[in-house]
Amino acid sequence: MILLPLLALLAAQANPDLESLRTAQQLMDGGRWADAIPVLTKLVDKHPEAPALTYGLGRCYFEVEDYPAAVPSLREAAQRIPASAEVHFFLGSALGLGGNFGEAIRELRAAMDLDPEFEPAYRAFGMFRVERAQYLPDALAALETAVRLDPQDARALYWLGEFHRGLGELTKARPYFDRAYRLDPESPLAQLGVGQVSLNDGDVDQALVHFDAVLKQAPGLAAALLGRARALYYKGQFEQALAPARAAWEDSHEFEERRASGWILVRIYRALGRDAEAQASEKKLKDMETTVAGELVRLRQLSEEAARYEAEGRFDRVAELLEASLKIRERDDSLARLGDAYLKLGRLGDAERCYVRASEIGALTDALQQRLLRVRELTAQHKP
Amino acid sequence: MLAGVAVLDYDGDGKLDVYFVNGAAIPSLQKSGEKYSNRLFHNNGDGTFTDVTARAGVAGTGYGMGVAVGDYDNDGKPDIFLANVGPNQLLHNNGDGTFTDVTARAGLSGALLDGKKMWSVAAGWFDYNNDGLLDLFVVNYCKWELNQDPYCSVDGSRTYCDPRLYGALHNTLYRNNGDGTFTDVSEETGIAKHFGKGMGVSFADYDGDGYMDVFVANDTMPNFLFHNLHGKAFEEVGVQAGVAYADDGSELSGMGSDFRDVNNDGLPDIWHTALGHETFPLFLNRGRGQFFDGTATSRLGRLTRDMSGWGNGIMDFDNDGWKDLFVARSDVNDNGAESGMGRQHHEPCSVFRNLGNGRFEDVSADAGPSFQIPAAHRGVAFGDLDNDGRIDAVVTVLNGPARLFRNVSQNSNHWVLLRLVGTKSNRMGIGAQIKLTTGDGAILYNHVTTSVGYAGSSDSRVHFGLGASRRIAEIEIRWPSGIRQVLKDVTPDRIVTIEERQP
Repeated sequence: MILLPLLALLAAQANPDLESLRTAQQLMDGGRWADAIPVLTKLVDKHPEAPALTYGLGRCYFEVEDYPAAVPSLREAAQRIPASAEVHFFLGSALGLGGNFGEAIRELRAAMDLDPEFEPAYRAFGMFRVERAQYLPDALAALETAVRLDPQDARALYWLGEFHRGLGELTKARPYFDRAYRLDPESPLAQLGVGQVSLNDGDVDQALVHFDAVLKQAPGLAAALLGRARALYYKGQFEQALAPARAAWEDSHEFEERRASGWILVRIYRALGRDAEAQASEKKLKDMETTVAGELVRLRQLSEEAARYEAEGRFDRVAELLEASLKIRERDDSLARLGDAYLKLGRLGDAERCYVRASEIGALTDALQQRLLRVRELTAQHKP
Repeated sequence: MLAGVAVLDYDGDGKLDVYFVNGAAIPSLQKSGEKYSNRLFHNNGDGTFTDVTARAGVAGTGYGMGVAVGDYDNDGKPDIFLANVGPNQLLHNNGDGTFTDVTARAGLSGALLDGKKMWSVAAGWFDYNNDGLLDLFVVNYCKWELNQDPYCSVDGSRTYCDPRLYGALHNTLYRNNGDGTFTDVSEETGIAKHFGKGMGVSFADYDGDGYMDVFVANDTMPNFLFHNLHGKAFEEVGVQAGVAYADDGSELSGMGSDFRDVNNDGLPDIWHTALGHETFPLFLNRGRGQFFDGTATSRLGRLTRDMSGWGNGIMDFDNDGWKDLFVARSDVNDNGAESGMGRQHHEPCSVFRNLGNGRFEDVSADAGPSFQIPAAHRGVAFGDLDNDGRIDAVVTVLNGPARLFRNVSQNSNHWVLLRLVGTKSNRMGIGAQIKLTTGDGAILYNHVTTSVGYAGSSDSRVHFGLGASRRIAEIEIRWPSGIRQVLKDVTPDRIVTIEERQP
């Protein structure tokens, strides 16, 4: 469908590339995205003026999960078809899936603004927020909107459940996970969600069934390994719990998952009487905890010191201290403060960068929007 | 935060009286008016109480937090220790309805850190070295300076700052010298090595070695389990024992705690409260120094996840032989709803019935209208205030009238209330471990302690619900002195006084 308008145009012109274009469209329609890439690459070279081709190529790379390759094409398409919510959605998704969450949030906001009924953009926006543990009101609003626009979207339901689970609101999470599971019983995400709430509710056998189902599809998924280890621990099957606990510890990268993996591993080793291994795991856990506690203390010191310099009007020192705090932990309120300091120092570009970044990792509040408008006005005034 | 409450029979008339701790004016932190007085209410025995604070001389000074009742001089009259933000206090019971402040002589005004008295929240009496004298464990919270709080907010509304933003403190252990003075032994026993943000403290001999161990619920830091090394020192084994963290490895906002056998296997378990979305964890003692996190499997995870709790206790409220759970609830933030945190400050109290199969059910809805009233509940003290064999609860309410939950459970279950009197052991018998065998062959366990919940102090008499059993086949007491005493064929449904005797 992507290339349909172009097909019509080339057909009218009796263009020699019409056949290649038809092939590309057929390949895409058939889900043969990888095969469509060389065809579209040639077409893009010959017709750089056609944004639909650029978009089509970006979509193909997106569908084969080559996000670094997808982004330039989609970015170009978004510039040339700025009013397309769909293009912004795929660009935002490619950015997010490629690890560029900040820019992804901006593109998905653009998609939602362009088409308030475009459900996938809301779902993706919420998903990226939740994945980054950014349990912000805008994420909740986006996911609730996605579910309202498409009540049958199992993924949106899962992420809405996950939003609540991340906040410890399991009572709220459960119905969303249950609905997602009913809609798509094979989905590992839905199975994972139901497994996790079942486990916390004490329905251990039920949880274990779900975790095992997830692990069949995604054997290395740390959350499912952790769930399986905890379920077996609850059942007193400590020997069997050890392997998934170890694997979860090794495979988890996110702090909370790693901490939980470490803690279950400690308890399993202790239950098995393997005290030396328990002690080694305890030390790793303690080190994690010490690092986080130390960071919090340092962040507070830097913030308080910055506040003193703010009161004295010494914004160069404020900027220095807040830059240091952002190296420890990126926070939207620190970014906004840093932006204000740069504004005072007349460093408008840096101020805008901070405000934009604050809006990416935090909510785009009215106050932040005002700041952005102000800095952009000032920048415009200062242009020669 | 505030405030603790105690039930104690200060005048020895056999009826439990009630003592409330109160705050003070801010910023002076002084009890600048009568409204800030702590209060002692004498139990008239007819369902009414009389305020005897002035006559008793127990109004207290400074900003009060917690209370611990113990007979530190073994004169048979319970004394009162007050854990305060400023100097702590020890009030000696003169036996004539009055108390004398003996803090200075006792040396218990509070330990210093960096030249500043540590903020004490709670305390508990126990005999850590089994020398027959009650020692004192004081729980300290965090480094705090008046008017120097950082600005913390949620969605623009100011909220209390996360405790993580404040420095930690160590707890204090005082050894009773037996002459009315105490020695701070926190350093030599290893207690001072461990910095936390303590709230609730409870005692039990979890490994059966005859020495009382200490559990401290910490706020946003790992909990402490101080294993008593035969009265010489303590080693902190919270992580090793499996009680330091929640099941997901997170540090909870630990509040109150009780350390008591909940599943009748003779091994003391730990149940502590925390804040909303954290659950109130139940750590089941598996023996060999290991605890199993039974929060999820007991259903307490599901039942308590959306609750915030302070004072709590493990007590058999329906006398069926299985100890139930009571929690005084409230969120910590008084502007949680408007600050967008989505939590109501006021919550009702809850009671969870022990089903005897490892699971609990929330029976609050059927426990009477008192359990439906939300308020800023805080401390709770348990005891049989009307001596009818049913455990009652007194609950404090922040900026509101206290509440007395009189247990009116209707059933034909039997009970016994044991008042232990130590002779070689400390007079209150704190630390004595009791194994009771009913006529039906059921074996029940409990021990003497007043340290229950958050900042409170409960009745030192030990309660057993006996279910349908009309007979007690045997009561075996293991006193802190090491003496083992056995009573046979005891008649139930009464209060039994047992004096420590050599076999």
